[in-house]
Amino acid sequence: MLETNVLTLFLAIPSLAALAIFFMPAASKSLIRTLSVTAAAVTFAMAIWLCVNYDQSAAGFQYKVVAAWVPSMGIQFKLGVDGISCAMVLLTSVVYLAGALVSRAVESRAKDFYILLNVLVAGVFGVFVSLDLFFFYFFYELAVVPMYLLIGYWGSTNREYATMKLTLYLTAGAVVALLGLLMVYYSGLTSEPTFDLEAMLAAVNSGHGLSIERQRVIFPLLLVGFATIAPMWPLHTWSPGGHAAAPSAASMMHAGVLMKLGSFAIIRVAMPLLPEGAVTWLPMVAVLCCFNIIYGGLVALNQRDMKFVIGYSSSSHMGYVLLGIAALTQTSLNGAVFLMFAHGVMTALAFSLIGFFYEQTHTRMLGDLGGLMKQIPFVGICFMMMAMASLGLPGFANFASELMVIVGSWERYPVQTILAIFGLVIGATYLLRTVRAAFQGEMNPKWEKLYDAKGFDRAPYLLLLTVLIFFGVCPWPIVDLISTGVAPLVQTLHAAEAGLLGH
Amino acid sequence: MFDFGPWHILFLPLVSAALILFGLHRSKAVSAGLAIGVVWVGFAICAFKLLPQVMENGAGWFAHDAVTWMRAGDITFSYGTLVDGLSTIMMLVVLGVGGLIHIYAVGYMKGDPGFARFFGCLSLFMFSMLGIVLADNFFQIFIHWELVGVSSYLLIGFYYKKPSASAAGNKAFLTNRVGDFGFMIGILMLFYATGTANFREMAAVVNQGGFLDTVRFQVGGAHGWTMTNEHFLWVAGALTLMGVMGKSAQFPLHVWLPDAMEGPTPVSALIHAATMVAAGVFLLARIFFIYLPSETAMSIVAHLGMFTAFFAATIATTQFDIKRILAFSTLSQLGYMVMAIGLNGTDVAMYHLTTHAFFKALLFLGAGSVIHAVHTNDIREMGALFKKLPITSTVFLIGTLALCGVPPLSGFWSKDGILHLTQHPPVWGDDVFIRWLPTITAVLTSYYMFRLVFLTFFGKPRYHGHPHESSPSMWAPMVVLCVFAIISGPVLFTQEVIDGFRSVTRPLGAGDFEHIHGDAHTILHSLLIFGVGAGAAFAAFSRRWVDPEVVKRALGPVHRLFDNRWYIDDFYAWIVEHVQQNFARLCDLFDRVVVIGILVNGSAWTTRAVGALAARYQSGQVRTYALLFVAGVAALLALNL
Repeated sequence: MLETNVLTLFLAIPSLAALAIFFMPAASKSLIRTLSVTAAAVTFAMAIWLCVNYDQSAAGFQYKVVAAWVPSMGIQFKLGVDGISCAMVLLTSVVYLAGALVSRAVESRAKDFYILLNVLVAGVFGVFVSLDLFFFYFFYELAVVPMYLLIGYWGSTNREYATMKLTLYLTAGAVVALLGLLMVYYSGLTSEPTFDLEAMLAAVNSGHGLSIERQRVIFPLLLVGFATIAPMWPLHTWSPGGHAAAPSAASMMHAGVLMKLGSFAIIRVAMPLLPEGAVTWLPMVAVLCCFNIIYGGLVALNQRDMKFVIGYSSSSHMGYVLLGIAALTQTSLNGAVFLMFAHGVMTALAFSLIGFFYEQTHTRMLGDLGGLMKQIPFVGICFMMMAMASLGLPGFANFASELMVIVGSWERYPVQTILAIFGLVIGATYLLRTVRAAFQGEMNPKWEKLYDAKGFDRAPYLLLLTVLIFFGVCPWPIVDLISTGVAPLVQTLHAAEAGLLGH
Repeated sequence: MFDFGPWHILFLPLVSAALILFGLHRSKAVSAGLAIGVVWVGFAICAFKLLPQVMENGAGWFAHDAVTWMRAGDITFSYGTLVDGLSTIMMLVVLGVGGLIHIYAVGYMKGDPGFARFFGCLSLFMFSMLGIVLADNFFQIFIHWELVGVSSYLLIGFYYKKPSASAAGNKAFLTNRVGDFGFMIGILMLFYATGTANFREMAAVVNQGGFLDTVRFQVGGAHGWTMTNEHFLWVAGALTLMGVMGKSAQFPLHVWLPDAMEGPTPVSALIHAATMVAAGVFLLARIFFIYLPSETAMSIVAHLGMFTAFFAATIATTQFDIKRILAFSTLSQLGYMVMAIGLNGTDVAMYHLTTHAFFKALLFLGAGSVIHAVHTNDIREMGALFKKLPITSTVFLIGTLALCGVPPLSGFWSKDGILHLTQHPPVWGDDVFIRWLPTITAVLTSYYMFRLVFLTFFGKPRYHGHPHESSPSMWAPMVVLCVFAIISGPVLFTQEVIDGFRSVTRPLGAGDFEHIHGDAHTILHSLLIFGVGAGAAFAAFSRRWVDPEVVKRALGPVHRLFDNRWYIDDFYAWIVEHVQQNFARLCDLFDRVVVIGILVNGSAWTTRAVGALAARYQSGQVRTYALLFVAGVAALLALNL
């Protein structure tokens, strides 16, 4: 029963939750929250089930669901997961659950807030499990639109400007990506034009891929389109402002999951469909990602608003993901996907913690805070652990994944790898500086009334920390899982490099 | 009996740390008891199980166990334990000295609100440190290298409300990160060149004759640089050495260690004197095989250690904070150990590491006891404490004599072993500096230590209040350490014992040490060094035959140089303030003005006209968007069909 429908349920549960909330009276906030949390908890349980039951020895796309949609255009409703998407689904459900839990504090128009949150999650799940590019793109857009509204209404700092910029950027990126996708669709990759990703992959791998010239034209479109949301330098500027303006749960979804859609789409669609194009253009990514890492880190060093620090640090960390992707080795790509997972959880933790005290202090400026450890020790310790995870301390998943990226990338891009290792020094600098400015030293007496997270309020933070530590100490289950998804991709790309894919 | 082994030694402290930090911290007694218990259980396993095996089987013996931590493609990261002579002696030092300091801390930290947190962090440190000692591969040692760094950060910044403490914690962490930057690159180079991260396998590859002749290295795969073989080994060795510079506080990454004295004194004794800072020396002994084939690499190591030893000793002569003097003395002694390794003396370096752990921990605990009694760190506000603190003063004095290398105390045997090396150096170290600076440093050591002793324990009282001797839980560990500081000569460490404590990865016939058999010449030599240094201190600070102020003025700029720690800290502060921060500001400005201002807003202005039109259709409702989106895609498709 569950075997055949599990992927449909990932879409259905958040959608149905949104629908149910739509018909609930706005006043019954606690019921709405409970419903959302329950829906999230169910998807979390399902995601664990999925990851555990995914057959690693068989690999490939599993738990497939196929239904005809518009056969004349080659569109079908087709879902399936491989090792990479399993990890991403798990990430989404973890952040979803934590986000639903921390949003208990949302008071104004809670009903609409939860509807949008659930729609967003449905969209994200959709991207991760779709095997049909039409639906892939549909879900991709479905995930972006609620973000606009979430920031626009519930946001803070400079929210009109931030939402506008975010939307323009993501829409522009999406349009460029759409152009690329349509070019692939009409390029005669398969005998009948189809959006079926599996059919397209089969064509590529059997030596019937697009001509190299064509790939070299189309790949940059997909790359730029998807890398906007990744975000790759210099397309990153929507992200820190967007993070800063968004309410906690939206920042969490945004930095934790939404940004991963970009790198996921590159891995899932752009690279396997256009392997020769990828081989041509990825060295460029390897250069740009260093700007992400070093430049993003340095800009973070000069921020005074905590959310901007974390925002720029996210773009810095995404540089490691892009480096891992560009380096094209089994280890580096595996590390990149693992880092997408680890960074998603870590950054969700960061934004949820900042949100917790921002609701009380109404400031995130480092100069105004200070000494908070004394007043809110639980949040302080969690924040410190988050910072340690983020700066790559062993014991947290971020270290294991960054280690894989670094070790895996050395062979191909030694200079970039050295810069990436130096990025760890910069990362430690801005994070320790932030921890010190906000939590250590003497406390401003103004903050004596702050209350700490107690009882059930601690659940989301503990959940995220547990996930980080579990996979930091025992990375092998998720690394093995991701490996099964990465292996065929690496094979295709190495074949493309060696000129073994026909033409 | 249960089959206890290295895994238990390693993980029991982690269990203890987790239990204390996440649950037991409400009960102080249970926390302290647990933390102390696991250390002594570990010590017992090591002393009664591993040590007999080492003693029985001699230098080549080892026990190895490993699990796969993660595997991707053809690269496997494993996690294991490697027990051999080297790790056994290091474990005995870490657990033995550590265990005594744990007991001392019970008295020292009494009444502190963070008592349980303190013991939790100590347990975390023990786990991290033992992981370095037992590591069987480079990636594992790097993991624990970082974990040790964070334990040290947490303990230095233990009094986190004090701005200077949290600043010192950050400084320690970041300085170490700079070292780890080079360390990681060195690891990557070695890993790819030899095809393994495992110490024994790597040693087998490097030690097998002809490694240097046969391989020309492609650093960073086919896309990197080609290096000649000798070149490769010394570059990789020097980068790896950066990790050592960070952890063992060698010049120029030494700046964090004196500031680290902001932590509670037991931490200074355990982490910043006896064990953690010795990790770098331990690592050098473990991977000696990388340095030995390259004379350039050996020469770098030797001169680095020599300079650090001298440099730190000069600074120690001008300081007034009792813990800082000891910290600079630690730097200086670590320099001796690093130099000894560079002069092909791993055995004597490890021997000095061991004796130093005893007497330096003793000195720090003594300093803690003094600080506890007079509530100040400034030796100008002490004086005449000998009568008030008889036990502390006696053991402190013995520790000082051991440090100064007075026969027959332990320091004499290990330190004069090193000085002996400098008088008979290998070709790469045969220069005037190696021959003379270490001896001058030894004179300086006696001078600054006796300056400290005279100002603290003798002369006129300048303290406030009524100092009294500390509790037995504090002085008992000091007495035990004192006994070891006395007997750690050939009585305890016979030639056979020292030969047993070797790394299995060590190339055959390298780095041997033979006890200098206390002949009249060495004893006289050593006493002469001691006499000159201590005599100068006696003249200036006890009898006042020479006024120190006059000497200060006479030395002028030299004294200012030493007093300001050779301006290294100021230089770094300048770099951070002016180079790093300005660079960060520049990037931030670029982001605001160029990327956001011109590129983004510029394109926004051009699209505004279009936007104004589109705004009419922006109802802000999801379903409208979804509808428009689907309609748009359909239209696009229809157009193309």
